[in-house]
Amino acid sequence: MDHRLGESAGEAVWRALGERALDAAVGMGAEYADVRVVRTETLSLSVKNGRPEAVVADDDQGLGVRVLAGGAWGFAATSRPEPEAVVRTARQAVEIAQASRIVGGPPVRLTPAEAGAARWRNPVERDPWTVPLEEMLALLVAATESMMRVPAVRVAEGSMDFWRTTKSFRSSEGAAIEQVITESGGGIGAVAVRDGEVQRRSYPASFRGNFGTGGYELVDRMDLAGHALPIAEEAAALLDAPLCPDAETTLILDGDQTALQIHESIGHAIEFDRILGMEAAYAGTSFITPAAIGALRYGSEVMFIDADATLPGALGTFGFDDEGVPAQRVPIVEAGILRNVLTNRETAGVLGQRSNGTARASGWNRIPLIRMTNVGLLPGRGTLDEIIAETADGIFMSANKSWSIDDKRLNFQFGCEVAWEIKRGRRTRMLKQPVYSGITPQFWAELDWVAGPGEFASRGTPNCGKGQPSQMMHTGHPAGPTRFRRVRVGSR
Amino acid sequence: MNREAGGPDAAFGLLEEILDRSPAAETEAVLISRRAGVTRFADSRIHQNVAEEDAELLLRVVVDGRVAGLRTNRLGGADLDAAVRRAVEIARQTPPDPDFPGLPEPAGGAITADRVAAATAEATPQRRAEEVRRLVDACAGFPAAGVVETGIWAVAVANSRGVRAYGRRSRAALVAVVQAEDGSGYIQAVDADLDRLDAAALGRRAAEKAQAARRPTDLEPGTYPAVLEAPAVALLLTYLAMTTFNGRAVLEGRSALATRLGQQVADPRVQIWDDGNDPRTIGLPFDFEGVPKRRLDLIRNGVAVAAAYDSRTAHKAGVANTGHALPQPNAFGPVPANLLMAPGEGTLESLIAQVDRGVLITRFHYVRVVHAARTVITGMTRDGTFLIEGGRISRSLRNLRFNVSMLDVLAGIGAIGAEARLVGEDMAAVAPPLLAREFTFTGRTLF
Repeated sequence: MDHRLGESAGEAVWRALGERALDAAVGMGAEYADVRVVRTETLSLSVKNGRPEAVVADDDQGLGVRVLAGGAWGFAATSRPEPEAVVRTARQAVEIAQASRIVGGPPVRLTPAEAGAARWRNPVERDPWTVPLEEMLALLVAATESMMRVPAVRVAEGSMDFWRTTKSFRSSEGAAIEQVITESGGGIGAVAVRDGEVQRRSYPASFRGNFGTGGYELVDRMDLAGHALPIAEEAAALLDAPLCPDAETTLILDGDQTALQIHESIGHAIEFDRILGMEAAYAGTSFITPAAIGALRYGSEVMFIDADATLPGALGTFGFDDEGVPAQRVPIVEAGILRNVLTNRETAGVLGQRSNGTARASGWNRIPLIRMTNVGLLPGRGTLDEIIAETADGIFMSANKSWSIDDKRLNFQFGCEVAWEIKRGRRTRMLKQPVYSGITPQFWAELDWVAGPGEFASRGTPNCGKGQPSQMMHTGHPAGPTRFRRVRVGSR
Repeated sequence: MNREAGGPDAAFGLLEEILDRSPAAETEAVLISRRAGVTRFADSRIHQNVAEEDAELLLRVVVDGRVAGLRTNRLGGADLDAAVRRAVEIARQTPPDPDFPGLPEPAGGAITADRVAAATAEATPQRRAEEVRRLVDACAGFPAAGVVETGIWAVAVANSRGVRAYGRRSRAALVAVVQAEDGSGYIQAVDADLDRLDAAALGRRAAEKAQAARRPTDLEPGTYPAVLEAPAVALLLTYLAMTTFNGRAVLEGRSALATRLGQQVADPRVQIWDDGNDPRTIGLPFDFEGVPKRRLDLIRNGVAVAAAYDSRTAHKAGVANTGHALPQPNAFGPVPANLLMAPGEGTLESLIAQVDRGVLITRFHYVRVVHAARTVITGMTRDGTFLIEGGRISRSLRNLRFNVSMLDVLAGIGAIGAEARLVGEDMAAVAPPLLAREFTFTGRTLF
């Protein structure tokens, strides 16, 4: 059964309304205008202890008009599919731009971009909107019932989330781009409770699992049912595990935690709008200065980072960004040196460049901001087992539990669900409530091993927050296990 | 058809039409509409300036004990029919939920709560820009970044058992971070009425704090007394709301209250309650199931006395529904989103005067839960961290990382300030400043 909401009979109507809004904005004096019509359909399934807790479908559609008038930005958005409403919205965008000039600075200049017609959609093997709901829910019920077989497990959770975003972009420069992006994922988690002690294990990643661009095949490949009992047993075992000791030691991170480390201490720090102070009051700025680009030693010589929006299957993959700029692969860090940052059409000119295509909006009612695409490490050599075997003494941490970093992306503290002590090249006792902390460039300078391609996967983060009004963005982070020397670890 | 919740009659008219169309045994329909403008500035100029209007319908249907939810902002007549049909189809494919107690019954007549400040509702982009200019002009030439927000929103709830609730509110907010060389200062104010926000006075305060924060120095991490200004206290309260007072977390053993309900968890002077009816909170007097809210004491005289519940978690816990449902169905659980903490006595300066050697914290940044059952959080200080020596501010400090138990902070209170105000950017609480006798800093940063 196709349980998509309604048929998209209105798509042609919406596109026509978009053209009308674009004409209206230009007619009212905008020197540049773009219009995005965006429809986002979602399906979210949450099962707990064998029972459905929240089964929710969502269908959201509207139109946003962005204009430059007098060198200042204005943006207005409406979900009303009516000619009068979209013309009024276009007028409002121009009026807002005029108001922006009341406290204006230098005029905004957009760097050039190719403007043409294009279509893009990501490959999908099993369209989630055609998979029987019974099949999905039965899998989650079975996985959570399996976890509940472990007596200490009080809460067994399973979830899946699917998004289909249909975007139509038109600009006054002549761009006409249609995209359909389908994203899928899921995960399970077991919470063991005893005498006020609470421990959790998740699979394949914490916070509702892992996600990518693609269809239900991504969930099929996770084998959620097969991993249910082992993680439930680990959650129970953590109740009796000792705390992670306080020490300065060698730290091995699994791919999931490495991905989050990249997201927080590299991905956000290289957003050029943050570097220029545009997010200063809310999310913060960055320790990187424009002068540091091309010169800053970010980390050790084994550190290579790309931002690659073209990576098949990753959650930050698309055909064109929300300014119509094609997806690109951009080298960010090469042999530990910062080479590039993430830009859009407004900021790239500061560096004498063209946009590298990272402007994205979370929906029709938000403006595009510079967002991470797929920011990740390039693979090194060997396996996790080999890293452990060649580590005399250290701690191996897995699965993110908490994350916090200061407003210039320097001082961080991350917690994981579980750790193991490494002694003479062997994984020994399990440790609970592990945390580690550091200062970004000092930490990455201690990176001495990145695992090889066989250990690599892209971790999808579907909840990356930025901007006011708030925007949740989907980003990807290719990563594998990593090893860092001289890291402060402990427990909280 | 009027798709906006422009008033209770129009909203109920739309929702009742949907209830009439639904073949489900039980149906709940919620209409949320909003109109908002957000003007952002950085480096003392407006760089992002946006407005939006939207209306969304949230449906919850129950078919043979099977529950499904559906949200859409496609509200044409044919769309609504399709939405109801789809919600019912999804419910039919979902296993029964034995924990679902049925939709709430009406607690009386229809609830109507329409309170909107004209200055906020009618604020134009020009008005927001003028507020930005007033603020920037008051910052003594130092660069300012921040936001001026104005908006109105309405929530209407109707269900097939007869619940009818409608509320409309306005909200205006002003935030600024002023940078004075290597020091920064922060202010934040939120009110239903834009006319009650004094942008120039707020800008002056942020600039003064930024200048005082120049030339920061290091403090050795450790445990110190700390004076928390209202924004820092409000953030602690909102984290308690989500993790500790959340009835679902209590049920599942993940909240400290799972084992400490009825116990002394805070200093006897601490009173924390939730009240969506209190005009200071800009809250609504009902939740997203249309259940009326009343004052709910959470910590009374330092004793944990209650948690918040919605219909499903209350049924499962065998307690009364307190009216704190988020949009349903929902896996996060109920949240008391209109928290207040009772003020004490004395000014912020009098709290500082009680500290021989400690830290003054303006606000927190990037707070995250480290251990929910022990209420342990971590985060950074930001935009005005100072050393207190001999009862006076002696110098500016580089920002510090903290790891604290929120309930331990409330248990170790030295004093509570007299001025409680609504503060908070994502979620707000009415909070006073307070003096914590012990606050543990575990690290520091480079600025």
